[in-house]
Amino acid sequence: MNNAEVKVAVEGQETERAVQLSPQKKNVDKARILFILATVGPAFVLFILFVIFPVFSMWYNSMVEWDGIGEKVFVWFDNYKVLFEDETFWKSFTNTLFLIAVVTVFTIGLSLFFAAVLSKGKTKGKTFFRIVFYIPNILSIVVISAIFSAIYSPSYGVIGAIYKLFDKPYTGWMGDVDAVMWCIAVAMIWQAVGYYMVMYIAGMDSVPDHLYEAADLEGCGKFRQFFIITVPLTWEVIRTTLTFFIISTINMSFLFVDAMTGGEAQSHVLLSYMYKFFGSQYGYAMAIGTVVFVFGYGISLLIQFLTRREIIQY
Amino acid sequence: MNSHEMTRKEILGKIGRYAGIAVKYFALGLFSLLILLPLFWVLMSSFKTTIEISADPFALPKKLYFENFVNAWERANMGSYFFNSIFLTAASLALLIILAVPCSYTLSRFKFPGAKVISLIFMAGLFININYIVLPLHMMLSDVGKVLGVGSDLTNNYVTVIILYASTSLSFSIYLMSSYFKALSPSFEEAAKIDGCGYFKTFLYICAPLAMPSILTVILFNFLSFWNEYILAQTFLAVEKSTLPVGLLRIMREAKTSNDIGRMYAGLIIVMVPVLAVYACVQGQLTKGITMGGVKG
Repeated sequence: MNNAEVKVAVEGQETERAVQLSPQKKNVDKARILFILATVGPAFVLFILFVIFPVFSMWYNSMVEWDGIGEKVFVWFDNYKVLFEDETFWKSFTNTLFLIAVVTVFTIGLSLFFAAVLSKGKTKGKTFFRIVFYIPNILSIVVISAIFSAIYSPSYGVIGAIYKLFDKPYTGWMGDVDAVMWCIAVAMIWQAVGYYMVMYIAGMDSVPDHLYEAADLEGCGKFRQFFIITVPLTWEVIRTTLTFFIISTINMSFLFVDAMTGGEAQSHVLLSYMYKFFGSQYGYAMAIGTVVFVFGYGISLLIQFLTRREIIQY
Repeated sequence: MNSHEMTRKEILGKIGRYAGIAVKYFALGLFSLLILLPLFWVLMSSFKTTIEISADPFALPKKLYFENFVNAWERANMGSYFFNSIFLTAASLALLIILAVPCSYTLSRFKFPGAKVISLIFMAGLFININYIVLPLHMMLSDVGKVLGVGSDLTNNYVTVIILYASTSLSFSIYLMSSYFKALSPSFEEAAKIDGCGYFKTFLYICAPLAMPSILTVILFNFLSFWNEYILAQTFLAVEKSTLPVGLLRIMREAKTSNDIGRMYAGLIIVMVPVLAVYACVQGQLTKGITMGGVKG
């Protein structure tokens, strides 16, 4: 049987099947609709109710005054007026910006370096390093906060013991206004490097070997290869992670600050300051949340726009 | 002259290369130590008495002091938090899988009006984190509770927390599995149809088992996030219903005043060990999973 004959035979079979099915077609469609509704419906309803709706309810409630017990009063933009004159709010805003900048720069730098070293080329113990570097990412933020709080602790910490070796008094970096944000940043970087490293390794593994081989032949050093081959060719991955960095730093900084500090005004970040008004001034909290939303997604879009480049094909 | 230049260049190149290798291994080794030493330090401290810890944080324990673990497990209630955590994590995982696997399958393999919009809405959820919506959620559920006249029964409730954990993980899970479902050949479904399988049977007996690797990855990632989650549990659940991370946080805060530090280290170990044990078994799957999904909430 040649190809043409096969084709005819298959087509014949198919028309036959279609003819057989046509009386039942309505039933089949009903079954299909039922299946789609049963599979997508429950997940979609729960998702709208418990993920999408809260975001909108947050916007609405940011214009409400409510202490959690009495009646809700609609106050338009009063919460925002108070908010923009609230010093602690601005402090928490600058703290958030500081963490976004510092954590992003160090995490991207370190994870790109380790990814470059652990993806291509000869490095002994690659698997070991990959496994170890990823460990912080699987630990609870509470665990990491507890470890770092213990390290920084004035009475039983590592830093205190080192100060003692040099006979210097140590009162605790976490209590120091200038140092506390750095302390939190270090914990956040410690947590994030492994995760982004694994993502970058995946991007770098797909860069073809012959580009590096050609560069080697041309006498181009590994350091330069990283900037002229690796970074441009993994640019899309780096770009995507940048957006996630903004959103995740806003969220993660909340967890770290909530677990590591005692809620002092100088160490608040945006979401931890919002959380502080839980149970007392709901509308005010929601106004902070709305600002976070506009700020977080605004800055993400801006970064997507600024880092846009032609995708390099290879 | 020319050959002399060459050799100088070569020598410099060689020095540069060796320096590069040295820097590389130094950086790798240093960062590994920065990760492993604190963990080892916690383990070591969990076997020391509080007096020993305060005297010298670096010294090895004189003898293994198990009292910290008994103290954390019983007096700080970590034992009952442990079982609460297991229950909440398992139930949330079960609900998530029941919701997400069929949904992801249908969205990636069926064309129907609205399919694209629904997929887009789920994608948008990738950017909405549980920490961000925890307050509006609490507010909403207390409002509903008030209307129904059940007070805080709706917020201080395991069923609520389970539903919220599952709902907020839908985006990531559906997204991760959809690439897998999309890659399946349609011939499986055609063959099943010819054999008289309906849509439900085709999904349950043919497509879902084929997507098992991605389902396992989803289970793994969400096990970690449910086990480690604390903001929602802290906000919704009363103290006695709480989970391990919330319990650990309480011990941490108490340690500042009560000076019972040994117990805190023991609590840390109790929270970490299950996660590290799972990681030791499946670390390959986990790092493969990130590259499969690309993102995590």
